Amino acid sequence: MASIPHDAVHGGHGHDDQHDHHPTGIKRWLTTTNHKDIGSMYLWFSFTMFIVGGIMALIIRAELFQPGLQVVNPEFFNQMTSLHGLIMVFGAIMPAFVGFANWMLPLQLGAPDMAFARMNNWSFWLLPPAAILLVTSMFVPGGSVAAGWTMYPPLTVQQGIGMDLTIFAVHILGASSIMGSINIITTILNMRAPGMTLMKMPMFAWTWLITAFLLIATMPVLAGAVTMILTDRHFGTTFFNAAGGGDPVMYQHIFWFFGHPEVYIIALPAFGVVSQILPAFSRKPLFGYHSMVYATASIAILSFIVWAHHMYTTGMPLAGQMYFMFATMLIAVPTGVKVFNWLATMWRGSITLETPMLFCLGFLFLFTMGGFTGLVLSLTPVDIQLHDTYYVVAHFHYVMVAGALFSAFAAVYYWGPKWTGWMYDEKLGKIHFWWSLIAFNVTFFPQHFLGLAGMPRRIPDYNLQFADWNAVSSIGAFAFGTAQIFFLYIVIRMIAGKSGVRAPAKPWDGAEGLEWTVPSPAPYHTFETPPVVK
Amino acid sequence: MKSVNSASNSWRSGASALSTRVLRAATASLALLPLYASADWKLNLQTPASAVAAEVYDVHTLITVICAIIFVGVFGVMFYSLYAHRKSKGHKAAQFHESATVEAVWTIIPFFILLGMAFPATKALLHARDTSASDITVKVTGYQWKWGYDYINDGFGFVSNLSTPLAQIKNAETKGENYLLEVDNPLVVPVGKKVRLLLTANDVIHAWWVPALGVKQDAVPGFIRDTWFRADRPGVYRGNCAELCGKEHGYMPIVVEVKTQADYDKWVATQKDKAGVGKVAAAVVDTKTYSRDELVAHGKTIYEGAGGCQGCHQANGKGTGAFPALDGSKLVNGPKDAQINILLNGKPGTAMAAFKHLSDKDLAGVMAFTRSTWSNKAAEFAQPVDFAKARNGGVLPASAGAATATAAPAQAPATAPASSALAEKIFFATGKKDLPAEAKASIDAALAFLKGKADSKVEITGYTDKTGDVAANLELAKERAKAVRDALVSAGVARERINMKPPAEVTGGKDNREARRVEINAGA
Amino acid sequence: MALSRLISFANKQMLGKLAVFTAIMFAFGFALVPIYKKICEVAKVNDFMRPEQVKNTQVDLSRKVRVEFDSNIRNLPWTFKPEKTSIEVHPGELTTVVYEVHNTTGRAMTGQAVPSYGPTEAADHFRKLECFCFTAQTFKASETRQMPVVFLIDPKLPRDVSTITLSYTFFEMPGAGTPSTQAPAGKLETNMVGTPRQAS
Repeated sequence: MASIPHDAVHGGHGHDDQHDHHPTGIKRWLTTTNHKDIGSMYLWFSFTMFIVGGIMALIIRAELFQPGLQVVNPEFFNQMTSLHGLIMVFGAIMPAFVGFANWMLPLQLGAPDMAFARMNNWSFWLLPPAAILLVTSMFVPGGSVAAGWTMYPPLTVQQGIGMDLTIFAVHILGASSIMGSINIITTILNMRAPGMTLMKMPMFAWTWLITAFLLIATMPVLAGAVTMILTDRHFGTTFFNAAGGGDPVMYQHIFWFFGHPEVYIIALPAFGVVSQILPAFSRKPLFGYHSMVYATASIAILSFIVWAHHMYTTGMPLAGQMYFMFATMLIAVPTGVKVFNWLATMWRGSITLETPMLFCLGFLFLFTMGGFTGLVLSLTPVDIQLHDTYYVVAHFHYVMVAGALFSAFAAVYYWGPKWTGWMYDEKLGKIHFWWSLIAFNVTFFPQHFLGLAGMPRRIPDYNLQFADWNAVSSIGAFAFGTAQIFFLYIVIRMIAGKSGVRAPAKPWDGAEGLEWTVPSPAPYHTFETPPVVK
Repeated sequence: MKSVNSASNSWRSGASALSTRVLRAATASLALLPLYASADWKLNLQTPASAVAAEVYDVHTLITVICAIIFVGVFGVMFYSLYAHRKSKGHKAAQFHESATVEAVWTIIPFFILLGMAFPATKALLHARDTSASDITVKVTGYQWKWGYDYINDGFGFVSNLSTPLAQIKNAETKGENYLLEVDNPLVVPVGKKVRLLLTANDVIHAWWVPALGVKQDAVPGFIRDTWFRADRPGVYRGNCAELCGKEHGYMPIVVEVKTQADYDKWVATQKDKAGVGKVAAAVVDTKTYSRDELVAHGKTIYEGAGGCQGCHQANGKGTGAFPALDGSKLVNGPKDAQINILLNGKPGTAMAAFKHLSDKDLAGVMAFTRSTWSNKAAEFAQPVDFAKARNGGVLPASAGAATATAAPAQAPATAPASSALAEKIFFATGKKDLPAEAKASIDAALAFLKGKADSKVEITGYTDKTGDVAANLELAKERAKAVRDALVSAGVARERINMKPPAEVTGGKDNREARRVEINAGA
Repeated sequence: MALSRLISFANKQMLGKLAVFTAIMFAFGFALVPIYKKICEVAKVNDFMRPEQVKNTQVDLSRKVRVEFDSNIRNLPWTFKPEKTSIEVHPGELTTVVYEVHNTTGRAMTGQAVPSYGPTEAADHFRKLECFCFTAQTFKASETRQMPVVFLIDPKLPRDVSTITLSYTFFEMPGAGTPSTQAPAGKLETNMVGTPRQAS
C-alpha cells in the first residue's frame, strides 16, 4: 500500500495546494494531507499493532497451554491480558477501519479528499505516540496496567506509573478518534458528489456516519472516566472511593456507557464492509437497503441503553437487572434484520467465492454465532453464572475477531487491487481464509466449554480439569497467529505485483460504486471535479 | 410448571450424556495433547447442586437449543444458496432488492421468540434474587488474596487461604486433583438450609463464585452486597474469585463444604470452642495469685493499650478536662473494692464506662498499675480472683480453679507473657521490615526499662503471620527483630543487653495485623 | 473556486458544531457522577449519609424483623464492633444500638464510616435518625468510644424481608494519614523474572 505510484498519475492538475511539490521520504509521510497516504498509514499502523497485540495473545496462550506457571509470572500475565485488550481494540481494529474510511469514503462519495486534510494528518500522527506510551509502560517500575482493559478501580488506583501512561495513551487515542470522526462526519455530510443523496450512499458510508457519531458521543465519556481515575490516583479526589463518598461501581457505569457503544463502533463499519462485498459477489443489489440503514441506526441507539448488562453481578437492584436484560435482548432484533437481509442478498444471486466473499461468509457464520452467545449472555441468571468466564472471552472474540477482523481481511482483498493496482494471488488468499477460519475455531470454540465448566477469565493458571481444552485452544492460537504472517506475505506480494495480474479499474464484475470508476491504482488526486450521480 | 421442570431435567441428563459421549469419541483421537488424570473434556455447565443452579442450567440448555435450531435453519438457507445459486452452475442473478412483507416478518418473529426466552429467564432471576427468610448468615470478605468468613450469628470467623503447595504451581511436584481449588479452611454450611451471604471487600473488588451452587456476586469495598444459596446435597463445591483483583487473582479459590445438619452443628461447636465464644465471663476463672510486679507490668500494657485508659486519664495519670486525674486520686489510693466496682461497672452519669469486657487479669493489672505508678503508692491491690468474685455477686464462681494456668484471655495471641515490667509490641505492615512510626513509643519504653536497672536485658522476637513462604517468613521475622535491635543499639544500648530470640510459634490473626510484630520483653 | 470555498465554510461550521458536541459529551462524563448519585438517592441505593425525617412512627406489632449489625475496618489500626450482632425489632419501633471503636494506636486518627445494607432493597425502609456515620469521627490516641445509631424500620417494609443487615465500613479519612496505595505482598512467590520472594 505504501507504493502508490502517485507520481506517475500526478501532474497536469493546475492546482494551488501543496501537493504539487510534496516532499519525499519520511517527510512526505509526516506532512502528508492526502487521504490515500493517511489511509495507508492507518492500515500499516493497525497491522503493526495487530502483530504486537497478537504476540501478547500468544504469550497468554503459551502460559495457558498447560496448568502450572511456565512462561511468565502472574503479574506479567495480567499486564499481557490488559495490554492485549487495549492494543487490539484501540490500536488494531479501530485504526484499521479508520484506514478503510480514509481510503474509501472520498472515493465512494466522489469527494476530492477528506473535509479537514490537515486535521486528518494530526489524527493519524497522534497514534504512534499513544502506542509507544502503551508499549513502553511495560518497562516502567511496576509494569504496565494489569487491571484488565476495562481498568476497574480500586485496582487501577493501586497500579504503578504504568497506569498513568496508559491513561495518557487513552486520552491521546480518544483525541485521535474524535478528530477522525469529526472529519468523517463532515466529509459524509458536506462533501458528497452532486446527486448522491444520503439514501443513495454506499452502506459503508452509512455505517461509518453512524459509527462516527457513536465515537464523538462516547470517547469523551471514556476520557472523563480515566481522568477521574487519574485524579483519584494523584489529586485526592474520591470519585471511586467509598471513604470519600464515592463508589467503585460508578466507574463501571461510566466505563460501560462508553464500552458498550464501543462494541458497535467496532462492529458497524464491519457490517458496512460486508454490505458492500456480499452484493458484489452475488451480483445482485443489497437486499433491504432502507431497513439496513434503520437497523444500523437502531443498533446504535440501543447500544446507549444497555450498558449495565456488563455489570449484572455488581449488585444492582432487581428492577435494573430486568430492565437491562430486556433492553439487551432487544438488540437481537435489528441485528437479526441485518443477517436476514444479507442472506436475502445472496438468495438467487449469481455467487462466486473469491477471497473477499469467503471472508464475508466466514464473518456472517461466526459473527452470528457470537450473536447467539451474546443472546445467551443477555439473560441475567445465565450471565451471573457465565460472567467473567472463558465463555465471555469466546463470545467477544467471535464478535471482534470473526466479526471485525474477518471483515477487515475481506476489505483488504476487496479494495487492495484498487490501492495497489495489482491483483492478489487468489490461491494464497483462499489458503489464508481456510487457515484463519479453522485456527480461529480451534482457538475459541473450546473456550465456550471452558467457561461453562467454570474457568474464570484473566487467570494465569487453572485446575487440571481445564487442561485439555486449554491445550487445544493454545495450539489454535499459534496456528491463527502464523496465518496472519502469511497474510502479510500475501499483501506484500500484491504490492510488489508478484501475481503478475494488473488490476483493472473494476476488478469485480458485480461491484458497484464510484470507487470503481477511477483507474487502479487510484491516482493520487481523484474526483477534483465532482462526478455527477444520477 | 412442575412437569415441565422434571421433563427438562430428564432431557438434560439424557441429551448431555449423549452429546458428551459423541464429542468424547470425536476428541479422544487428539492423542498428542497433554492428558491429565482428571481431565475429561468437560463441555457443559457443572452439575447443579442447588435449585438456582439447576434453573440456570435449564434456561441455558433451552436457549442454547433454540439458538442452535435457528442457527441451523438460517445457515441451512445460506449453504443452500451457496450451492444452488452459484455462477459456476450458470445461475443468473435475480434483481429483487426489497420486500416490505418479508422484512416485517423477520423483524416481528424474532421479537416473539425473544419474549419466549425472556419468560423462563425472568422466572429464574426472580428466584435467584430472593434473599428473604434465610437460615444462617455468613459474612464473606474478599482480601488480596484470600477470603474471610464470619459466621455472624455464631460469633466466630476465619480466613480461607489457598492450600496448594507452591511446588505444584512451579511444576516441581505432581499437581493434585484439586490443584488451585483447595483451601486450608473451607466455608462449612448445612445441607438444605438457606445460607445468606453478605459480601464486602477489604481492598479491591473481588467476586465470590461457586458454579455448582449457582452463586456469583461481586464483593465491593465499602459496600455490602447480599446473595444466597441452598445446597441440595452434602459434598464439597469449588469455585474461584471471578473479578480480576491483582496478581494473585487466580490463587484465591473458594471451597464450600456442605455437611448434614448434625455434622454442621458439631463443627460449629468446635469452632466456637476454638474462638472462645461464650467463655469470657463464666468458663475460666483465673485463681492464680500474681506478684505485684507481674500485675503492674501487665496492667501497664492494658492501660496504654487495649484498655484504652490512657486516652482519657493520660499517660501521666493527670487526666484532662472532664476526665479526673488518677495520680493522687482518693479512689485509686483508697480501698480496693470501690475501684473494683468502678472498673467493672463504670460511673453512671460520667464518661467512665464499664470495662467488664476486659478479663479479670487485665482489670487487676490496671488496678495494680494505677496503684503503683506516678505518685501513687497504695499498699492494697487486687488479684484477678477478686474481680471474678465481684462479677459474681461476691462469691467465687463454681467453675473457678478449672483452668488456673490459662489466665490470658482467649483472644490474646499465644505468646510468652512478660515476666517483668516490659512487654512491648511493634506491628509491621505486610511484607515490610522497616520500623513503623508508632514504634518509637515502644523503643522508648524499652530504653526506659534498660535504664531503670543496670543489669537488665531485653529479648527481641520477630514474628510474621503464617501466610506465605515459610523460609521467607523466617527471614523477614529476623529482619524485623534486627530493625528493632538496631534502633536500640543506635540509642546507645550495648549489644550484650539484647537477646535475639527466634519465634516459638507463628500465628495469623483475622486481619493478621497482630501477627506481624516484634515483641520486646524483659530478658533473663 | 466558489463551490470549494462554500464547502469549506460549511465544513468549518460543521467542525464547530461537532467540537461543541464533543465538549458536551466530555462534560456529560463528569455529569454522570452527580446523576449517578441522584439516581442512587432516588432509588435509595448507597445514599445513607444523612439523618432522615421520620413521619410515620406507628409500630407494627404484628411482625418482627431481625436486624443484623456488621462492621468492617479498612486500613485503620482500630477495632470496631457492634455491641450486639443482631436484634429483633418491630417495624416502626425506635431502636438504639451501640457500636464501639477503639483506636489502638498512640496517635489521633480520623475515620469516616460508610453504611451499606443487605438486601439493597431494604435500604429504602431503613431510617437512621442519628448515626456516627453522618460525620467523620476523630479518635484520640488509644481512645475507645461507644457510638449510638438510632433507627427505625419503616412499617412499609415489604413483608418478605425478614432480615436486614446494616453494615459499616470505617475508612481512614483521605488526607488524615497516608492510605496504602501499594498492592500488598502476596502468598505466592513470583520470582520467575527475578522479583524477590514475598513474605508477610
